[in-house]
Amino acid sequence: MASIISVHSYRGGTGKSNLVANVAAILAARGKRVGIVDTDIQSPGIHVLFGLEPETMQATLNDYLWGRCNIGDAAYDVSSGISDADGRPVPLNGGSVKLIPSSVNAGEIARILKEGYEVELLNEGLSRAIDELGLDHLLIDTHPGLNEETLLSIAISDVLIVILRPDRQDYQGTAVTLEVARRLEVPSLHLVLNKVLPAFDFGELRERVARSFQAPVAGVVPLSEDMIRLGSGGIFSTLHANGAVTEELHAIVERTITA
Amino acid sequence: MDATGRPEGPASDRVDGLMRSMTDLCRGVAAGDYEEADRLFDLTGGDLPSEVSDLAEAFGMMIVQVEVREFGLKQTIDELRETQRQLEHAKGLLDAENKTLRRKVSELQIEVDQTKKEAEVSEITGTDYFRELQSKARAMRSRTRS
Repeated sequence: MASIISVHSYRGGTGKSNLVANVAAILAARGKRVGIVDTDIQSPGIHVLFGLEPETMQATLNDYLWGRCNIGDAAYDVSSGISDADGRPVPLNGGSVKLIPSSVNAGEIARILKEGYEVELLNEGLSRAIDELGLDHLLIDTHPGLNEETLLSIAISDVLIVILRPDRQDYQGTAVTLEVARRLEVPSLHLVLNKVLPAFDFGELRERVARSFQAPVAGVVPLSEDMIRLGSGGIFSTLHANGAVTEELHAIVERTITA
Repeated sequence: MDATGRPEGPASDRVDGLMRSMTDLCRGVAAGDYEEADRLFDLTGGDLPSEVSDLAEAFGMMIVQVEVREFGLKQTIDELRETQRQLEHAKGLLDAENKTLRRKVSELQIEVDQTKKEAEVSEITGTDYFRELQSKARAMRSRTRS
């Protein structure tokens, strides 16, 4: 049975897409067949991390939602975009990452925003993608906030990872997201604290956050200069195989998915 | 000078000339030019008339003392400037540290406005869409469990 994992943040800029891409790469390197759906239709971006060029996208999630193609036609194998520090593709031991991107075309984005789409269609698409692509895990990169497609993604998830920064507004939004997810009876809820200043006491922060939100903290990822430098230039955990950030990313996968 | 030491015509001219060059040197020093001041000492001793020689020596000593004091003051000013620079640097570090500390304190205080949260949650969960989603999700989960 494939597991559906949504990664969500209440506000933008938390490092959500980066976390999704790294979790996918770590799972794939363990031989898992991983799918990613970019449901951040309003501001898609995860394809950049895998080096997938918009020109090579024949079809996108948008085409599926307009009934122009099957969901499988909008999936791209981006396994070769996962490379090590020397630029060589990382051996995946039979694993793979298939990405279903959203369109970056301004007209397509405008159409979705203006006309909306049948949210139920997204639900069907996600379960079909699991079957058609033979996935072990489906990761959903959601749009920040709690619009209908994000609520749907949360509702159908086996695991929800809420990513936040140690910041007052993020705390407030996370409280709302967790409450909504609990009402949707998501079986497994986790928090990931990202971009934490290294000067912080990580243990204390983890404990305080876990206590305040009554939810497990799967990881506390330090703000890293290497990460900032890389930006959207690639998958951090394979480019920097060693170090505190990568170690924590592996721990997050273990605590949330493979546990 | 004659045998009695009284100045004569040419000697008086010579004193005038020496006084003029002393005046020029003093003006130069007043303008900050110490380079030529040593020439005052050329006007001391030897066979020069004592009124010129004594005055030149007194001026010369004055200039040396002034130069020494000026040098000392300049050094003190440089030291003060360096101290000021260090203080400004330390202030910058303190400001940055204070900012980090303030941020740390505010970020470690996890405050959630419960009223605001409840309002937002009920706005989301109060819709027909949400209720439908809730029952669908429940049905889906019981299917996969059985």
